[in-house]
Amino acid sequence: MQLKQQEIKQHEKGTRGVFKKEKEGFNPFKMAQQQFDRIADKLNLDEPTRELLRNPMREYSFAIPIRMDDGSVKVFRGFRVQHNDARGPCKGGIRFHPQETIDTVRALAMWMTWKCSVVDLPLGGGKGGVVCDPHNLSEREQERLCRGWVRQISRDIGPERDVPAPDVMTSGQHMLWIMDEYQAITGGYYPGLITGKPVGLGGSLGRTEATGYGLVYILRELLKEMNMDIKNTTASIQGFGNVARYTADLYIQYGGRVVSVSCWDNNDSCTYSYYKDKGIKLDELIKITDRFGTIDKKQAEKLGYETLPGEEWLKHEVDILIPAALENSITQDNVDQIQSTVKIVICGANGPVTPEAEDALERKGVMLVPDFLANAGGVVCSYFEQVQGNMNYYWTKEEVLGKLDNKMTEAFYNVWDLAKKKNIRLSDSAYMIAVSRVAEACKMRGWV
Amino acid sequence: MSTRLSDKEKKIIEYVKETTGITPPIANITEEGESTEDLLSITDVLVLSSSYHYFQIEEEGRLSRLLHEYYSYRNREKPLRISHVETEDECFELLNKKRFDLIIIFDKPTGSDVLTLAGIIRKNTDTPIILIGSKISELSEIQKNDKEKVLSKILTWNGDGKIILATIQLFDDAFTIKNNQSFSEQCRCLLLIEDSIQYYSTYLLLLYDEIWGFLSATMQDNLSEEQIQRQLKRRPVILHASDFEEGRKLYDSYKKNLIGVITDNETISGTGGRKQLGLEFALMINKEKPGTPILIQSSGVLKHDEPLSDNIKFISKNDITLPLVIKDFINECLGPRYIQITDSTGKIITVVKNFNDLENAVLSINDEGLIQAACQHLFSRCLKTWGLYELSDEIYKAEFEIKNAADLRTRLTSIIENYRYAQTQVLVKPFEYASQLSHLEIHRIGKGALGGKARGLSFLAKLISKYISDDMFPDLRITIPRTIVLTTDVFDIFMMQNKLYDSNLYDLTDERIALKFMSGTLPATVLGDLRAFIQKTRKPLIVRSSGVLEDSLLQSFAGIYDSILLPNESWETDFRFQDVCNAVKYVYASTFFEKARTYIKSTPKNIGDEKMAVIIQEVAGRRYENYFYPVVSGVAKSYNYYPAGGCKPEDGVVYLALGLGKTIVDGGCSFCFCPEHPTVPLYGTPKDFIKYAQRRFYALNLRSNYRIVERNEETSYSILDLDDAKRHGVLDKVASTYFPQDDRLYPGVYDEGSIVIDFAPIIQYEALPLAKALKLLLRISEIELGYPVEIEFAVNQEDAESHKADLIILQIRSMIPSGKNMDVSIGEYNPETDICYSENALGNGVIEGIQNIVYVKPGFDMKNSIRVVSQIRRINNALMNNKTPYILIGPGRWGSADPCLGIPVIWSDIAGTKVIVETPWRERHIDPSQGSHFFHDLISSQVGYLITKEGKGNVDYQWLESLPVITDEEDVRHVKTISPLLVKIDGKHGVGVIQKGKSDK
Repeated sequence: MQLKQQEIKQHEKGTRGVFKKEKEGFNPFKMAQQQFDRIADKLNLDEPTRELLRNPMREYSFAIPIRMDDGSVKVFRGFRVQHNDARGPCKGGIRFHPQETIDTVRALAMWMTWKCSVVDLPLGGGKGGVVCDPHNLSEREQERLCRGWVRQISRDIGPERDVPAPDVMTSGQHMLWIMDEYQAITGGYYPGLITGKPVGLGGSLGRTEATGYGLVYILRELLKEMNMDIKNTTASIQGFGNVARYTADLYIQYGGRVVSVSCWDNNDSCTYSYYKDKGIKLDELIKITDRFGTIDKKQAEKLGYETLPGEEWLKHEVDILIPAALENSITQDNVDQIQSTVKIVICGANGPVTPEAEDALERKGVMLVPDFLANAGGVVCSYFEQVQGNMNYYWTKEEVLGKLDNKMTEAFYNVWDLAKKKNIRLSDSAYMIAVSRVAEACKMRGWV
Repeated sequence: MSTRLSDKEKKIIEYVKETTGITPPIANITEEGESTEDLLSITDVLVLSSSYHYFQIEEEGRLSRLLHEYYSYRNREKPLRISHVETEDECFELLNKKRFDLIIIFDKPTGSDVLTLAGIIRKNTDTPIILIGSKISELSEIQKNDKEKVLSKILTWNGDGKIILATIQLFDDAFTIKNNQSFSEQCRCLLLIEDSIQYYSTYLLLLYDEIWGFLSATMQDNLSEEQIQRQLKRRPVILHASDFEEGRKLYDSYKKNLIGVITDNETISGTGGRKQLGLEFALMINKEKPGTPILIQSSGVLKHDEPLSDNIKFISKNDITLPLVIKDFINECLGPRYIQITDSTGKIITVVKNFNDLENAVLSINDEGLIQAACQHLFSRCLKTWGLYELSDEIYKAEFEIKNAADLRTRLTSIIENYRYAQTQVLVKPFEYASQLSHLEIHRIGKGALGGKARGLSFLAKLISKYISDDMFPDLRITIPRTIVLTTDVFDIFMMQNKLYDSNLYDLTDERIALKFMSGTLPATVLGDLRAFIQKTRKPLIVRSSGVLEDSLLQSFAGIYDSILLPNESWETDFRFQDVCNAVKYVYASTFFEKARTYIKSTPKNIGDEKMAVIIQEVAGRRYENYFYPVVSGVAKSYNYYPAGGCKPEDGVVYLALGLGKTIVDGGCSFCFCPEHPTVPLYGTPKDFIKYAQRRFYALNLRSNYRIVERNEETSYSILDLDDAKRHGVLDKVASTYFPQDDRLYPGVYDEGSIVIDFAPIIQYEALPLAKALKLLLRISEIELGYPVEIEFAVNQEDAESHKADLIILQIRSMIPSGKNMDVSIGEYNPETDICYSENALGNGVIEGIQNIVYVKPGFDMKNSIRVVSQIRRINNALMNNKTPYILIGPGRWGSADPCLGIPVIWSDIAGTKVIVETPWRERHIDPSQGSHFFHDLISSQVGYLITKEGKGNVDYQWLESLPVITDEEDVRHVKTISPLLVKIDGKHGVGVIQKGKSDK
């Protein structure tokens, strides 16, 4: 009981003042707006359009009172930001994170808008979540949290308004609770409310692999354009979650060699990277990883992996770096540690490279594939899940992955062709395509 | 005209020119698509020096002799020209008049500052400017002051004129490697990192001396022109860098071709200080490419914590043996020019100087020598020296893994055969998302092997691209179907990912195996490309196996694995895509079906040896309403064992049908002609012909409900008739109209009269040059392969209004069944052993195992020929029910419509026979019934036909009557021999014999 109270105190400390003050010097929303402003200049967008697009259209913040297992009541803070829905219903994940901030969510919602647009999905961008640490919540408490979240926001989400999905520390189970609560409130069957559902309960085959595979489709085509044989390349990946694993899986299938992955170690409360020059074996690493994504250090060493500090992931002499964990991984402080062998940085996570680092990478001659293109595979597959759910007809995995491949490949070539034509960075090209499509939609709808 | 063609190729080129009047494409290109000229980049060199210095170079350096040597080993057709000027003004004047590839300034020309001079030249041209001098200190000073890098290289000279040649070679190679992709992929590179002018000048001379010697010796090795060119392309090249940054860049660009590295241990870094990076660089290279020879040389001592691996050596620059070490090092890098294979006593068994020698050595040397050579990796080293890296790696693996001589020999032979085969095929390109599948291109998805059928197709494509050009037959484009191949690695990944190797497939029925496979998922690595292909392809598709054990040319495994025909009709890409995925998985499953397992058991292979690639091909044809079919389909054979109408067997024969080729395959009505004499009628009168002309044809029903698992292929096919063809507008090229009042056929379709499919507009009146094209293809294929061939084809007209059509070659195969020989040898007539002997026989081959003979009794009166038919029919039906083949013997023309000339059976009355003997009737020699439909059935069934004469060779009726009787009809008797008979027919010479079995002699 005492321990539980301590945990609660810790939690209260974490949740009081929900929107925590940003770490000095880094504000993801400001970064996202900076990126947008630069592109808006290139596109010569008028002021009203800029004003409309550089800020979310709607933000919801609400309290979620939850009865805990021990009978006490805790009030959590939930929120949902809907950046823009000119092209279609908002789409974006729900995350549970103790250090979540409103600016992070705003930035993520904005990136979702660009992400859906660059792969030409008829969707807008949104994001949201709850400030909490699910490590400290039992399963029942998490269920009540999900249901509580829906009760607060059900009027403002839906298959035709805003379609949430899993994100950091949420999963298919959370989505099912949310869907179930929504159906209880609205009285209808709406599999299209939410994506990321398990297969068999409205989920799409291929969804698990989609983000990681989508990244590799982009990488594959980029390597072709750079006249590099994927079989002769090596990569270092930051992270070992869903995106990192499936990225490694398909990349290895294509013949590439992954020499390093990294993960958060729950026991030591820090990150480690695990290095093997001959290439990691995915199966053996997965076997020694717990459900929170922590790789067992001792077992890894027994298997011949070298354990290094987490930040070492980007110092290896590889051809490709894949940040696939959290934002703000490559900054001006560590970009110079990237080796001269690196030719490509392809972003599996959201916002892992700061604008200053991006400039530095360009000076180094490194090709950067922006996050909202590279990791769009997940949202593409979510869209497929929506479509299947709405039709109530579910496709084979071959159909899903085949469509995913073609969609990502087409998106890449649109971006690549514009980049070559205008002699600009891939990220600028991707942004220009994405922003111009959304701006066009806003204009055509008569908003601006 | 290139001289690099084989005799076979020259023969084919001559034939093509003779037949078409046009030179085929292969005659206009060299072996690898480039002329020797492409390898030469430096031809004009300007030397600025005092006359004294030039004299020194010319006389002391023996420049002319050196140029001649350089010229001869390089096999250059254009000689190198050197222009000499003495002053700056002369230099500028000449530069204004012509362009030079290289400018060499020798020492300081009198009264001028080299850098200023070079700066002026550089402003006006980007030609490389080299400074060669003798005073090291002055040269170093100039190098230091050359901030703008106007001088491309500074070298020192000690009186050896070869420095000029070394300079020319260095820049020539640098230019060629940068601009010639083929060369850059094949040449072998030695990386030299050294900033000291003195040392790198010395090293360049030493290294080039050895390289020139190596090449010169190679040219004397009695190589063909083609081999010489190949060696020149794979010659060693020196890449020189003055610092490690530059060295790193060169390494990154050419590491694939690297044969060795010579590096200083320290050079001047970009920031001006000296860095000891040589060892670090060497260790890095050794990590990435272990075993690469590396020589570190330094004025100081090399400090290293751990012992260096054997391939990394160090030598001090002060060591007096430095030049020798450098020479030995380069020779080690170059590898052996040839290998000597010895036995355990050291006696030389054979010397291998080129690829042919290697192949022969693998096939012929004794086991001991083979193992000895493999243990020393002699074969792989040799191949590496010749620049055949991938082949060398494969051979190395075999040398390393296999210790048993027999297995090793088999494996090495197989690797070499595959390499040889690959040289004869068209390049199969990886499928790209934006690929437009064009004429004669085959695309692959995956990186594994192509399998037998795909190799056969790529061979076909190569044949057509080498010898046929578009202007040979302007209205007829010869091509292959648009094809994509899923290679064998896709099969491997599919099996592994779906855990199919773990399941006990051999315990399951074929249907269960199929369902298991079809519930799996194809690898993600192929789905995108496959879907992109399907999206662009709207024609029906055929999905076929292409196993590595199949040989499409020799037809082993023919019909063992399944093919699936898909209408590909749905408007929804995903339905079509899923159908193709399922079809691919079904073909994979057929690898484990009972038919395949049983067949493989009868071969030396195991089922585990089989790896399945899959071909997805467009069906040839066009859509007409809800049907799909080509205007013409056919089979052409280069040798005809049933010649008729005055044609010789080697003139060949072609069978044509309207619609899908199933008509011909099933032995239905078709039209035949001789490609050498297409207008010669092979059928009797028009009335005879039209009775048996094609009236119906097969088409693919695009609306059929075909389900793969049920294999209800028949639902895909529709049988249409001539009215449908008329409505579709396809008859104008394939039909004539018969007017009974004239008893004549008029080409084309008229409102009155009866339509007859006789292809007269094409064959008689050359609406399309089909006969000529087929004749050419048959001949080319026969020469190329060295045996008679059969070609399956279709003719399609995409646009009915246009005159143009495509002749689509579907398959090419040997006419000789696998394991059989086409040559049948028959001796003289021997009455003791021969039941009958004919010098006018049709067919070819040896038929064994027949014991039943049905014969018309001697003394038979032809007036009763009609009543004989029913007797024969009864016996035939009884034998057919028991699946028992027999020999049929009787007088006159079998199948004749005139009962006075022969017994008027129709084919179904005697369909069980394997051999027909036509005996003389009342001294009248009846012409064989060739050209009739009966005859056509006889050919389709590959029945032997022997025509005997009175006297020598006629049937031994006495012996027949001694045999046990099975059935005795009024005019016909069925007897059985004690032991099986032997029938031999030599189609080449038209001789046939039926011989008694052992116990019957």
